[in-house]
Amino acid sequence: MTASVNQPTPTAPPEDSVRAALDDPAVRAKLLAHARAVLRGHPADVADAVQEVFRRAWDRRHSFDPAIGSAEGWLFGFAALVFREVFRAAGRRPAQEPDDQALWEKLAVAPVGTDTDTADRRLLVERLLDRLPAEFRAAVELRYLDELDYPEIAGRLTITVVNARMKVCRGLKLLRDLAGIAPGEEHS
Amino acid sequence: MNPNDRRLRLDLAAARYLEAIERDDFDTQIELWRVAESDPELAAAFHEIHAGLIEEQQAATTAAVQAVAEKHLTSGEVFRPAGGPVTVAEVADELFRHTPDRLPADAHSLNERLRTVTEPLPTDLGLTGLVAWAEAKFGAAAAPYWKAFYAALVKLDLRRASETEYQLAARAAPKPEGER
Repeated sequence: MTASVNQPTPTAPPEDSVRAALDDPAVRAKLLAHARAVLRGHPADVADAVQEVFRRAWDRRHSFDPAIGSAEGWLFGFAALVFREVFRAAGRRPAQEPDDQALWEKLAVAPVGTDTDTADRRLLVERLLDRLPAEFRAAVELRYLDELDYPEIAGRLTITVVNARMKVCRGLKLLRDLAGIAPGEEHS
Repeated sequence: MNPNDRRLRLDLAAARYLEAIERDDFDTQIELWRVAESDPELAAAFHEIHAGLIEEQQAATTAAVQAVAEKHLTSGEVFRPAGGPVTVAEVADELFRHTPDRLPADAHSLNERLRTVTEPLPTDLGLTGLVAWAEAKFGAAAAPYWKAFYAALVKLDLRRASETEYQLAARAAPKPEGER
């Protein structure tokens, strides 16, 4: 008898991973939160939407490819598709304008090049930060100037960890809007 | 800000996701979840956005209910859980709502003044220490007033401690490493 015949499979089959994710109460709780956040509907509708995700995910479990990522990750990506359908089926109208990714990219551009470039860029960042409301500015500064993690920012601002992330996100959104303005328009 | 900074990339993706949710832009949400399928850290950031939005929805609902209660149930007390040390104003407010009998008139006027003082009260002073601290700062008052003030402080301290314990008990314990 060769050693490989009776050896257990090193990883669970894909279907079992999906089943395990569907059976996990923590995953169910996260799916409910996902639905509540994106659908903003009546609790019963939210529960129905999650149930629909479970039903369809079970039917489509064979399409999960463990080489791409975890079953949980696949499930949430799948849920986003189902929630779009649920949203439309309820007669609600999704966003018509496409997201402008280029504006987000502006924020991620590096201060490369000479020291003068870096200094100019720093000045620009400081000018933009000056225009943020105090609550968002404090969170963004703690995150990027003091390089703190979210629990540390939450401690400094005496808010919850998720609220600290929300303030940084909202601060970045405002910075994105400000960065989208041509330099000459900044002080208008 | 460095383009290679993973933290910044994650935060920007999370901010973009938040905006996509608020705009009902499901196409962008789906695109971002495709990336998150193979990136557990990004998925975790998205889950925090969900939790943050729910927290904001709950806060908005609470504020709306409180506004209605304060407008229409004027004799009621809206209890607001708070963190940090108990302040002078909170204790004075508690005394205003639950005023003990037979307090002299000047104690009432002092209490009214203290309802605007947001300074935190020092902890572990005891009655004598508290009276010395408070009279040095706010002027003398009748002994029964400070006794009532101290009792209200202890009550608020206990209430806050029990809230903290409740929140700690209600928090889900992280799974041990081996079970992830």
